[in-house]
Amino acid sequence: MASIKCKMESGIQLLARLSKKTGIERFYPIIFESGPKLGDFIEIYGEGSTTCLLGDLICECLIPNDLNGPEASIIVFNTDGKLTLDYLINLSKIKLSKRLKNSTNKPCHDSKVINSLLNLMLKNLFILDIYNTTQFYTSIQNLEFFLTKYSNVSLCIFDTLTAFYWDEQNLQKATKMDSYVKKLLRIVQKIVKDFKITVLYSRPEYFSTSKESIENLEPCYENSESEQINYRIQIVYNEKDVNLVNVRTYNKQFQKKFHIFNDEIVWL
Amino acid sequence: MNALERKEHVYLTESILKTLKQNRIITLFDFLQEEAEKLSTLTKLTLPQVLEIRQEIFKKHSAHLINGATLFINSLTCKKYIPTHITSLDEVLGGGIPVGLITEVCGLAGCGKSQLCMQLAINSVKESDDSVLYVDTKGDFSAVRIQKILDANGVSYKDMALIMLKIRVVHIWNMEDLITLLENIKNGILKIEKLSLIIVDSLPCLMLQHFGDENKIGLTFLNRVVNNSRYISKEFQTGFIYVNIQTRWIDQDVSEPEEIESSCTVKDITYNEKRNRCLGKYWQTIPALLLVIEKCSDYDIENNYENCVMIKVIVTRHTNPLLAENCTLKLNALGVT
Repeated sequence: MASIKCKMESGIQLLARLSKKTGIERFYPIIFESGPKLGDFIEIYGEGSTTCLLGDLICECLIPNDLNGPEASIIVFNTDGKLTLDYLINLSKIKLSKRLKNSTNKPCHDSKVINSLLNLMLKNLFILDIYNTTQFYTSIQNLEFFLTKYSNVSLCIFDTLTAFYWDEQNLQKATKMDSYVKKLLRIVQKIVKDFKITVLYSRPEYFSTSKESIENLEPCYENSESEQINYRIQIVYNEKDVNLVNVRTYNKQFQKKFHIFNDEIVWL
Repeated sequence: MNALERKEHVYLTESILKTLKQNRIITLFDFLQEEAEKLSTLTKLTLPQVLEIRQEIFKKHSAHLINGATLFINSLTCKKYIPTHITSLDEVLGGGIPVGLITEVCGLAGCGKSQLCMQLAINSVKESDDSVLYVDTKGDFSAVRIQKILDANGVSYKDMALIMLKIRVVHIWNMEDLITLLENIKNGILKIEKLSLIIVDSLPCLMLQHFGDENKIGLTFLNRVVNNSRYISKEFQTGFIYVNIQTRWIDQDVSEPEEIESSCTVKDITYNEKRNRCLGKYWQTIPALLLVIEKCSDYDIENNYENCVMIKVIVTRHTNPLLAENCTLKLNALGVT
């Protein structure tokens, strides 16, 4: 008689399996190509601000299905405070106008249409304004509750993951920057692993024990492993030339050029 | 990170806290991270009681998840800018000093940073009921200068007194005191009616005391100052200006002579003036808006302005760090206009 194997799952795993979640695959193909998969971890860093790319990614992710967007839900841990709602609204309006123009072949200036679509987008955006270390760690632990309550969340963003690093250092011994990031990734991974969500975080470029270029940093991984990341994206602003992003995945590395026009990223 | 204390919940007695401490559960985070079953076994509390404590901690300390649509409705009634009332500057800034964000005013020594800040303080309170908190860390805040500016602008003594009353000046000499000041505002211990703008002139004066610290305590303080400033500017709807200093040095680039046959080559020596914002890499990523002040040295001679200095304000935003907009302001007895 063949043995029957039983697989147990927790209530959270069951909920995550049964709940309908919007996938965000191919939502930003210029960087993620066919990805990112639910469960992936993405790192964005740069010497200058990462807000332009983060803002662009958030708005693209919120674009409604009717305009060929993923209409995904997002939770943002706003620890940096620079990613403002006004900025996201302005950017969303620009994107909506363009999409409406493309879908109807004529420019859309109807503010009612744009505002109702904008409202739909904003309903899928959840923001946590965080101002201190205790609030940061407590909110991360509370993420399980947030993700259970809003089971359609597909993307969780930390802008930035490293905002409270210096506040946490004591006089005796400072944690190495890489170890600090890994510790936080371990904590976040432990909480989100059953929820099938993509996690994206930003950090300043200097926040790395190794000052190596992107190709010499720790490799990216195909599947989600503890403390490991799947995409590493570096933003480089060039005063004399075009700006660019260096993207590194488990099997390739490539570069994309961009300009910023009216707050929006224009890929070249 | 806050320690787990009795005040968190009535179930957390001294003996339970002691047991938890023996098992290395010291902070709130340690408690939240631990399996509820294990905590129940350790503390002899029932599982629902442990979960009740957890809920209470979340309720007290976790940030609230706010929906974007709700935030949008709330933002409609919020002020976005504190106008500087200097027309050309407001145009470049898109309305004024942004509310809810940190602004840095930066420049070489003597370029007019403090003059601009004093003018911003005057202009913010002059035609409104708002008040300004001016944090003087150098001990050179000049009430006489403000009085002279107001006098030159024909402001009556009565109005002058009212304006000066609305500019609250506090002297701070170290980072610990600045943190205490900000925490007192945050916790409502220090209440300033209709506070619209906080100016800290200047931050490097306080941070210089910690330069070269091996233990980086200065950065720990700076991180706390930034976090408190972010909270105050967002929750109290204020503009927040930090004055920073630029340093400059001459970098001597000696270009290598090309491989030419002549044995007599003269090295081409070029001198590049380089400038740097103080306060290090951590601070560079903090301000959302950067105002770099430069003194226009030739302007007064060319334009025959007497007793007047022209200053150029170069504005960059974090959303597009390469896009710099600028305007030129006049600094004279009437103030900055």
